[in-house]
Amino acid sequence: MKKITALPAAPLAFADQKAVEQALSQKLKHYYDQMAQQEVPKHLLDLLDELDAASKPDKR
Amino acid sequence: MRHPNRTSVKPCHAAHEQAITIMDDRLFKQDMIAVVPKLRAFAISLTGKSHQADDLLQETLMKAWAHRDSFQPGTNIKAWLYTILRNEFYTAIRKRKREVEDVDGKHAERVGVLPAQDSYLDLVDMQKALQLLPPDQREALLLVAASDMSYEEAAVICKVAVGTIKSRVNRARERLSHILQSNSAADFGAAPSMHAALVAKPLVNG
Repeated sequence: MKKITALPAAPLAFADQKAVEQALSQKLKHYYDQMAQQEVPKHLLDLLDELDAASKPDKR
Repeated sequence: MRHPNRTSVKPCHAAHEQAITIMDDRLFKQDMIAVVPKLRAFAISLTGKSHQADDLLQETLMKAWAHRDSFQPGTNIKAWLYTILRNEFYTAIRKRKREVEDVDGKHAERVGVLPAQDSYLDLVDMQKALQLLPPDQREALLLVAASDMSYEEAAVICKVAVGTIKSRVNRARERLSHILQSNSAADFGAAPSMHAALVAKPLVNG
């Protein structure tokens, strides 16, 4: 008896592919925006103040 | 570095020159601060680990400040900072190649604390999926699809041709679709047939 195997999936139609790409982009953008909305650690913002302060008295 | 608004000023003595420098630094710092949240998102997305991302960001800010004189006012500070961060990222990768890798992810950090569990899981999935992309594809996708950069800007940042960036973005999208669809087709609202089709697609290497 011949073993039944799954048929290879048909390639996506162009419209389907576009829909998947769009959904993926939205998901990626959402992820990225969430990361960007996280609070920046204070020591990183303080660092810029420290660098700025250190460069002020004729150090350039 | 001279801010565009200040380039027309002709200092006639040292005190005036110093006042302009202080103003330049203040404006430069403000411009940097405005980019930091997105820059940090890029760093987290590249490294997959927040503590590494913050180390990377710290190195980037220090290097940017040290080389602020080389920044051309009126040009894109966002692209300039992304370029520095990217260079630092690859420097760190080369350094870490000699270190023991966190193969089983035991020490991998979570992406952050988020209120909604579903949303959190989505972000974790995306974070993990991004880390499965080759670094060159990951950065291309993040720059173009997430950071709102043009293909041309991304090409300058990655120091490759525009066509190479397009190709990397396409391959990254395809691979990311495959990875995420393998986990959950429903997240994309995809029909089962579409899910099957995506899963059946062979991965493109490189």
